[in-house]
Amino acid sequence: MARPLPTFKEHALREDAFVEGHALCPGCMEAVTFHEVGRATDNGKKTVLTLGTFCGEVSTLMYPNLISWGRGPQSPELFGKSLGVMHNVFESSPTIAEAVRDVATVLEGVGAWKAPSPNVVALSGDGGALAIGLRSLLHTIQRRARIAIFVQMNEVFANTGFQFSPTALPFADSSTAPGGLPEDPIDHVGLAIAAGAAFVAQGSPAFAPFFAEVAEEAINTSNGTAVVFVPSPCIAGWKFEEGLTAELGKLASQTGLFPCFRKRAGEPGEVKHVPEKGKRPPVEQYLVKQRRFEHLARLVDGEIRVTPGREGDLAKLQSYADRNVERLKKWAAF
Amino acid sequence: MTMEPALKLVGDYGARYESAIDLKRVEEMHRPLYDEETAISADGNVAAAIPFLQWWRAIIMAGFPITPATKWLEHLAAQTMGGHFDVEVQGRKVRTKRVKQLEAEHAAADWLAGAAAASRDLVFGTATSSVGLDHMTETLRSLGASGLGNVVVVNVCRATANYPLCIEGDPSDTLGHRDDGFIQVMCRGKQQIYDTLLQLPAVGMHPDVMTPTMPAYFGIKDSHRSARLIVEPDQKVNAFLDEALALGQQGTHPPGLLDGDTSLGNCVTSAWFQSFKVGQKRRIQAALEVLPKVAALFQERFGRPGLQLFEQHRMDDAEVALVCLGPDAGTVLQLLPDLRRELEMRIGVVVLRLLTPFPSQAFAKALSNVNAVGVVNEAHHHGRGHLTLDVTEALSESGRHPPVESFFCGMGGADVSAETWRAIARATVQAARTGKVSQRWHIVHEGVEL
Repeated sequence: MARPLPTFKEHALREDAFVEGHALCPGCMEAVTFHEVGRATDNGKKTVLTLGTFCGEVSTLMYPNLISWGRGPQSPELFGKSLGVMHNVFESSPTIAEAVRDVATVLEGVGAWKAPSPNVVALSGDGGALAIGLRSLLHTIQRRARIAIFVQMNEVFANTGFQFSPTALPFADSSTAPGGLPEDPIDHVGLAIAAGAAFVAQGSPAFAPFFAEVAEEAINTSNGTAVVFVPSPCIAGWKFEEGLTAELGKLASQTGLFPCFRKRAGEPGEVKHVPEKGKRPPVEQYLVKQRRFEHLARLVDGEIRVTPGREGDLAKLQSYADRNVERLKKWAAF
Repeated sequence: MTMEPALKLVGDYGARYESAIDLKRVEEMHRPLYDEETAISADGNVAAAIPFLQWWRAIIMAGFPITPATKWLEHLAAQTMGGHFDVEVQGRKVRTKRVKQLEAEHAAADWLAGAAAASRDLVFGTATSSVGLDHMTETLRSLGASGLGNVVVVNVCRATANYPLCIEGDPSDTLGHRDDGFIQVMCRGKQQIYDTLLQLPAVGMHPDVMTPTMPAYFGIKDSHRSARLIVEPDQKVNAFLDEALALGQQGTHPPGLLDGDTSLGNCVTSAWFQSFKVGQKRRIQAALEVLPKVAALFQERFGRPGLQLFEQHRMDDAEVALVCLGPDAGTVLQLLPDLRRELEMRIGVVVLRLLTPFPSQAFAKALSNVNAVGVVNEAHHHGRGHLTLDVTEALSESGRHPPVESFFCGMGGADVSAETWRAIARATVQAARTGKVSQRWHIVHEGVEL
C-alpha cells in the first residue's frame, strides 16, 4: 500500500454517509455495509456512488423520501465531504462507476481536477453482479477500472421477491425454485480473481474489524478494481428470527460456506474466520436457523432434526462447504 | 494550495461546486484538428466522427463496433491514438482525447450514462446500428428520461431483425426506437451529417430541453460512400457550440456526479411517476422551439442551412406531397420536374429530418393545401408504416383528411430506383384524383408492386 490504512478506531470515528430515511428491512446486513462504506469514503476525497437496481437502491433512493445518502442533511460546504449518487439498471453499476473514473482520469490528467482523486464506489446486489450483470462485472475488472465494487450476497433476487439466483447455496428454497436446486453456486471469488481484480475480498460486517480493513483497502486500491463480496443475511428472504443477522454472518464464514477472504493480485491471500476441518461447525448449525432450509433440517426442542431422506442432500451441502474452503485456499495462493 | 470549490445550490438538483471541474483548462488543453475551413473527401461515418475530435467538450467516446457503424469508431481510435491529442503536463504525456472500448453495446450505453452524469458540461457519444441499438434499449430508455442532454448516440441505420440478417441500411432501427425519449434527427449526405452533429448537443443540452440526441443516417448508402465535405475550423465549431449553449437560461444547469452533491435515477411510486413524465414530455417538446433558434445561429455563423424540422421541395404550389427520409430522397428530387410533367400534377416532396418529437403542427401546416400524400416507409412495419402513422396523426390533428397512400420500398437497403419513385408518384396522384387510397399499403421494387 502506498500509505497506511486507518486503524479500526479511526475508521469507526469517521463520518458516515448512510443516513436516516432508508427503507431496508430491520436486520438487513446491507444497511450495516452501507454505514461502513460511508465511513471508509470519509477520507477528504469527493465520493461518487453508483447503484444498480437492488434492495439497496430502491430502499435508499426512493423519491420523495429523503435520499438516505449524504453527509448531513444539507449539501456539505466541504467538497471532500460531498457525494454524487446515481442509479441505473440492474447490471450497470460497475460500468457507470468506471465511466465516472474515466472522466475523472482525463480531467486529472489535463489539470482540470485539482482536488484529490475521487472515491468511486459501485454497489450491487449479487443478481446484478453475478447473474444479469456477470458481463459488466468481469469486463470492468478486466479493464482494471480503478473503482471499488461492493456486492451484497444474499443468494436471492430479494428486491423482486426472493427468486432463485445462481449464487444460491444448494437446496436453498426460493420463490422460483421451491426446495432449491442441487448445483453448486457460481464461484464468484474465483471469477473476480481470474478476471484480474487488483483486490478481492469476501467478508461479513459481523467480523467488524476485518470488514473495516477490507472496506478501507478496497476504497484505497489504486492499481485496478477492488471487489468485495459481502455475505448479506436477508431476514425476509431467508426467513430467520430477529436478532440473528450478525450470528448468521459469522456462521456463514465459520462453516466454510462464505469464509472471510482477501487477496491482492500477485500476493498470497488469506482465508479467515473459518476453523480447520474437524473444528468447523457443521453446516446444519447454520441451516437450521433459516426457514429456507427447513425442508432439510430444523430445530426441535433445541435439537437438530434432519428430515428423513434428506441426509444425502445435507452431506452434499457439507461437501460443498469443505470444497469451498479448499478452493478459496487455492485462489489465495493463485 | 488550491482553493476549496465554492458550493452553489441548484434548485431541486442539490449543489454544484463551481470550480471543481476547471472547464477552461479542458478547453485550453484541446489540440485543434483543423485551423481553417478545409474541403476533404469523407464518408458518412467519418463526417459523424470529426465533430467529436473537434469539440473540446468531447474527451472520451464510447465504442463497440457493429457494421455499418464501425468506421466511426475506427476513425476516432486512429485519430486519438495517433499522437495529435497528446499533451505534456508537468513532464507527463497525457492523452486529452480517448476512445473507450466496451464489451457490448449495453455497456456502451451504461458507460455513456455514467460519463454524462459525471460532468454535464461535457459531451459524450457513441455510434451504433441495428441490433446494437436494440442491445442498448434498456439504458437508452433510461437515458431518454434522464435529463442527460449531453449524450449523443449516432445511429447508422441498418435493418434490425436478424431473420434474415442484412447489414445494409434501412431505418427500422431508428424508427423502432421512437419511444426511447431521444431527439431523433435523420440526415442525408455527408455535409448534412456533419452539420447536424455540430448543432445537436446545443439542442439536447439546452436547459429547457435536457434530452439526449440521436442523429441518424443510412448505413452503406451514406455511411460507406464518400463525398466532398467542408470541415469548419475547431475554433469556430467550439465557439458556435458555446454560443448556442448560451441561448439557454443561465444558472439552471444541473450539477454532475463529480462536481455536485446530487443524485440521479431515483425510484418513485405511481403517486409521483407521472409528474416526472410531465417534465420529460415538456422537455422533449421544447426541442421544437429550441431547434430553430440553434439552426438560425448556425446559418448565421456558417452560411449553410441549419437543422430543419423537415425539408420542403416545391411545396409552395404542390397539389400532392411525397413524404420520405434519408438518401433516397435525392433520386425523387432529381426526378421531380419530370414527374410533374409526366403525371400532369404539381408534386412536392417533404424530406423528414426531426423524427422525435414529430413536428406535427408544422408538418400539417406544410401539407395544408395538398389533395393526397404518399408516404415512403423504408422499414418493415406490422401495419401501414411508422412514418404513415406519424403523418396521418399529424394530418388528423389538423382536421384535414386527404388520402394517404403508404409505400414500402428500400427495405434492407434495397435500391429505390427512378421506376420505384414513378410508381409511388403515380399511385399518389391517382389517390388525389379519386380522393381515396387504392389499397392499405404498397410494397414496391423496381417500379413493380410486390
